[in-house]
Amino acid sequence: MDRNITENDLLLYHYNEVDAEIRNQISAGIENNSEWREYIELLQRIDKSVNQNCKGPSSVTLSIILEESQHQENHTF
Amino acid sequence: MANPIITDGVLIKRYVQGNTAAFEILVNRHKDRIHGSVLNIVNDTYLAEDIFQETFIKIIQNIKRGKYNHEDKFLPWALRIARNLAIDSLRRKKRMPAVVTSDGSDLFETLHIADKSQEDIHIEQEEHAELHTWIRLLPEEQREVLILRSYAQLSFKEIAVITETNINTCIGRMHYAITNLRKMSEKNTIRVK
Repeated sequence: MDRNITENDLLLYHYNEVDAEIRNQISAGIENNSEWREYIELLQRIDKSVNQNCKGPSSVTLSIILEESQHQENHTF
Repeated sequence: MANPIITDGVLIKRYVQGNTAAFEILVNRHKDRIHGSVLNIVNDTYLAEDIFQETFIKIIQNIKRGKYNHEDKFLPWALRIARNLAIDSLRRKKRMPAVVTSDGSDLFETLHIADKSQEDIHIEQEEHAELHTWIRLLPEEQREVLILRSYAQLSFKEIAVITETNINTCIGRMHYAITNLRKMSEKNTIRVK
């Protein structure tokens, strides 16, 4: 028998951390459940925004790190 | 047939044996996730750059001293170092007065924006301003879990280890973060992009 799906279940479903039984229940019902779909869509938009906000470190910083990695190796390995 | 990906654990072993190219691969593999996570936690471009650099200096030192024993769990380990450095920096920053311009904005943020083209600024503002602002307004603990799950793509179990909490606490914080973002979007009657 299916149990009530919570927002925490949907959260874990979105990040692929939910139990197989709940996953199957959500997958089977999401097409006809606008509340579930809206919650998953909100998570997708948040993911997209967070990921597009980051552009990586500068090349100068990377050069310093790689130089440091060689310096450490030359002197201590 | 494509070459199999060399695991993080193997790269670190090779680096320990003197292969610096292996370390470069490791840096390039994880730089964006680590830098982006730090940037989202501290909300300061220049501070994030410093913390990112300091994180990798610590990583180099730890590996060199034989303190790395996490096999292929490099990213959670590196993010734990970065997260601790970020929190320390935020605590120090709270004790220091901000340098502000006459309109009250942070001087260094203003300088950073001035370096970008108008087109870049417009696109960024249009696509992410509202949601990004709201993410910044989240309580630190909620924002941290959100970034580590959504951006760094760590599991809740891994986040629990990094934050020294438990899985249920992390899921709860994430849930509250999403709930708060939804409330903020409704309050401002602007659809979250």
